[in-house]
Amino acid sequence: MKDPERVVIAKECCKGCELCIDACPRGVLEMSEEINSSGYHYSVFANKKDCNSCTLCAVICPDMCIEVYK
Amino acid sequence: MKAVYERPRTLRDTPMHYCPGCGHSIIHKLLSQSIDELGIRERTIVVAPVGCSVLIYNYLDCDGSEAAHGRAQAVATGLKRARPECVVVSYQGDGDLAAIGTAETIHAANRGEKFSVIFVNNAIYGMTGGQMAPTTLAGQPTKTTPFGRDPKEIGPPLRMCELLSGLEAPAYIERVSVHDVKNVLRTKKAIKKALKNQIEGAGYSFVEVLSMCPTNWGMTTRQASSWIEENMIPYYPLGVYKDRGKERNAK
Amino acid sequence: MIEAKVKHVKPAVFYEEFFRKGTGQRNTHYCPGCGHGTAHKLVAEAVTDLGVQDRVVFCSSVGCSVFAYYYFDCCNIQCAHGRAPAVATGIRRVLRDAIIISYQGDGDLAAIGTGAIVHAANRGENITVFFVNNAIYGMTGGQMAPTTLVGQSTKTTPMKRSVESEGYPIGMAELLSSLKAPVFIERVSLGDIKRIFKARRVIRKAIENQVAGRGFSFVEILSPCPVNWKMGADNARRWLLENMEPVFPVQNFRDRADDSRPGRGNKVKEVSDEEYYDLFHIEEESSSCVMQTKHTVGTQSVKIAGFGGQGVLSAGVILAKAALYKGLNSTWLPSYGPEMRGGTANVGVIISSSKIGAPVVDRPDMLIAMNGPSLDAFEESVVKGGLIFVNKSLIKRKVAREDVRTVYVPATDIAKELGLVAAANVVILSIYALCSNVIDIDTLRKIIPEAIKKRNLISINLKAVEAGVSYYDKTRCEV
Repeated sequence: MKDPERVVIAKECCKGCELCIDACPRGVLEMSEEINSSGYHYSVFANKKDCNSCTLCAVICPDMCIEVYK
Repeated sequence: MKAVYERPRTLRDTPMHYCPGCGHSIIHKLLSQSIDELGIRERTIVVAPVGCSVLIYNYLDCDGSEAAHGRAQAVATGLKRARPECVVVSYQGDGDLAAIGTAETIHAANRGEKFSVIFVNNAIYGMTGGQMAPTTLAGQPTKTTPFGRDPKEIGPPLRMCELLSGLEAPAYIERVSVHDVKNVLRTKKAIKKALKNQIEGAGYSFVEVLSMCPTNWGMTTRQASSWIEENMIPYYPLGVYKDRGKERNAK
Repeated sequence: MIEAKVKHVKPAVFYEEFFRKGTGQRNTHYCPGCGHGTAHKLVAEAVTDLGVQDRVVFCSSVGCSVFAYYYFDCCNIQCAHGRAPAVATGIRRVLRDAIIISYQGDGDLAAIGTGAIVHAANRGENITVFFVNNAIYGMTGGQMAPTTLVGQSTKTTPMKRSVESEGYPIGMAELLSSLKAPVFIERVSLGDIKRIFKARRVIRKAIENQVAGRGFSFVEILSPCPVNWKMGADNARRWLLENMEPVFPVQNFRDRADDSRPGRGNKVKEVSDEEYYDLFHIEEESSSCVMQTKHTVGTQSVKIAGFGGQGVLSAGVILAKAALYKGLNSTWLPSYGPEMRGGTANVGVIISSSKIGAPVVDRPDMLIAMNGPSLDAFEESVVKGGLIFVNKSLIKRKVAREDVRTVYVPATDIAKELGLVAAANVVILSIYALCSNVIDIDTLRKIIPEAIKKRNLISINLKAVEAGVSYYDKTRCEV
């Protein structure tokens, strides 16, 4: 099995509150252009090389959509 | 790669019904993490209130009980006295704990019942559509105070931590917030401490968490976070109001 | 002959005779040596001296003082247990001139009525509360009260009250003084003559505060209960001094009577009719919505489902109103979860040319599915040969059933192009109007300005109707 990425976002769970975007000190996350089946723009792991697995996005995420690996 | 942040065991893998950016889900997560870390999932009973968090038993994989509106701490009293080995947590919102449940809260605190209370204060009635709560700030517009709460007419917002810390019995009272990462981490500490107090038999522990309600405040989540910082915290100062364990150690 | 000067007589506020129910009862019902009699007298004296008897509304509680209305010659209300401050609040806000006295015992105010007193105090209601604390439930026979002292034995704590099990006696004066709004809080005692004189002054002041419109005044009166304490009247007074006063310190907790801030008479802001209309988006009575002649369509039941925020319930309102406009009968029954946003919401609308019995839609003829979970939930319930409208912007799958007709509309995408995602409901509703023979598109155009509360959104919703029409024209939605 391939190693998971540092940040794994369950896109169907995301409600698009954008708290993680503000929480990330390195601007790693972005909101999607697409919408998920509930009709929300979701958070995506965009600037992957800048991530250092600090977990702040996951700490603030209200909906437990984010898992972090190192 | 190793997971450094994943879903706590106690938090069931189901989507929560809360609005985007609601603080409840964060607090659920922190409670679950604390329960996991203390290894008490098998003996934890969470008493759910009436309000947005009425469905908490769908999300936490531990025992639970629903209580009549405002009466969660009366139910918790019964549970704790019948099953002292269990860890009983009363999880309530401000429309529940600070309004219809004022009496139950004051008397449970005054009796020094040995359970933990998590009080989610978002300054509004969430589930019913944004009516004024006792904790609504002065000047804050709600469905029932469309021109803003007028303290001259309906009094100033009620501060539960201050009210309860005047009582003799409570062991631990703290006010925290979940509006940014730093404060989320502090909240986690406070919740864990409240549970630990109970395991050690220290007595009544009360954690008030200032929480966002972007939907009913009519704001984006971003605005809601700064609204807590700019408006709620000045009126509801964060910090420890009572810590008997610490006082005892100091002596 | 020298006329005797009156030094002390029964205050005029008391009835001449205390005529109670039962045979020949002409005195108060209190036990010998009870403090209530003294407290009653002090309150009556204050009311008499201040000359406000005709304005006094006396709210008595449940407990020993339940019968205050037998003694006080003024307006009396006997309130539900613990709720005297709530009743007083109501009176305060209706009768601006009333002098409202809430007189409660400790089983009433400090136990079942904790919520009511804390919130009345926190609101700073301009009322006066007298709280008679005798550390026990008197009327019911001496059970433990929240104010019972540690180590005191009662009917329900025969082994004495312990901190471990029952906690500490609750100090209501202390508790209320942690609130911001009250202007006057003091604890007095009826333990001896000196203290009674002091109590008299404090009680008078508490009523004066109200007369001057200053705000919430609270006087806690430590009072003996010889019968339930199981001692004589004089021993009870000694016990009060020796045991109660150390726990419940007799002192002033707050006096903001001289505060220069403007009076807090609970003055409510007057709201004009125009402000109300504006607030609730009320238009002048509209003339366009007149009943038209009935036409026959039979009965059609429609289920509209989606997530909260998609305008599911308002789509139902528009549909039901359009049907009424056409002279048909209609019902509207919403169903939604506890969540404000993001949860599932659905509404059942029944439209009929005859009378409608139950408004419940179990087996819809038409289903408008705004998102995936709604299609999953209601696809099976549609009657055979029914019609399903699918918002294909959000629903990626096709309808699985083959015995129903389907219309796929990218409603959310169309609405997004108009600049208001929430108008997807109107887009799909206009396609419904074109496909069903129940309401027509012109009716929809007329109804939308009446059904949509936020006036600034009317024009964009009308555009959504036109967008729906042009999509229908372009694709000729195969039904």
